[in-house]
Amino acid sequence: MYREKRIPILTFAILFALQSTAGFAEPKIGSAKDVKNNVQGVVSGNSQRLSKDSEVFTNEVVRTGAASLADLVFLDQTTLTVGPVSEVHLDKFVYDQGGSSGSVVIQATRGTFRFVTGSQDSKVYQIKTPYGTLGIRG
Amino acid sequence: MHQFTKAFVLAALLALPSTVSMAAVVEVVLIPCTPGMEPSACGLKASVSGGSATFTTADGQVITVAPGTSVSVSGSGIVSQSIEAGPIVNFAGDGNGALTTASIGSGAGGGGGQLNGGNFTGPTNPTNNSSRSVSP
Repeated sequence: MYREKRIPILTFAILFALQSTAGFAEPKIGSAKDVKNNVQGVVSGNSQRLSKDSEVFTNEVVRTGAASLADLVFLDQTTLTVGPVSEVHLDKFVYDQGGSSGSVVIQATRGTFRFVTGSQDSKVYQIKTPYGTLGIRG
Repeated sequence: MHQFTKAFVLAALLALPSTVSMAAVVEVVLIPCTPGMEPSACGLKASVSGGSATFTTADGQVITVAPGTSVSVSGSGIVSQSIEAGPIVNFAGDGNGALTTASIGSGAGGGGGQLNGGNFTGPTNPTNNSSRSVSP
């Protein structure tokens, strides 16, 4: 009898634990070096307010509010500054240290951005926008 | 120090600058077009410095963006290129959280678009020395 009661409780606990870790299913690709005012990160449907040193993940959407700013640093030392009232999707991050098979793709939706390439070959970096795609060449 | 070691260290130091690649800096101002908005008031402006880039438009046209230049695409799809004397975005705050940035800017594709979200003011680099149109 006790065993029958325990099964639903255990199932609920597992489901609850799974839900709370879902946001971290995507690989970590960097962190926020600096954050001003209101910056949200949405990953796997979970929204978190970003602050200094917050981790950022593949497939995360970063949104900034008015007079807000996010300064992100990726694992290959690429920096992405996201200006006010902006939105960017961190599509893909493959770090191939010393190789040429890396890939860094971000998708800018609106706003202002400054993107500084990191330690990988320049050709691995791509910035997609609704108007076209920028590919760094060196 | 041994002569050979000295020569080796010197050679290594001389070789260093040629192996350190300069980072490319890409700045983007992106104003999505919304219903009722003038096509000249929305679009994209992207500048490159410290490296070059290619811009592939939605219809497959490939444009080379040389260092110190920018490419603009208006809401109606007109593409233009300009020379940029400096950054097109400026994230420096004034101590009260106000941040400035540039407008989409000039050229056949530009034309007066300016971000107005939050405390935007601008442009930071209103003078583009030259621009040329690229057929979309």
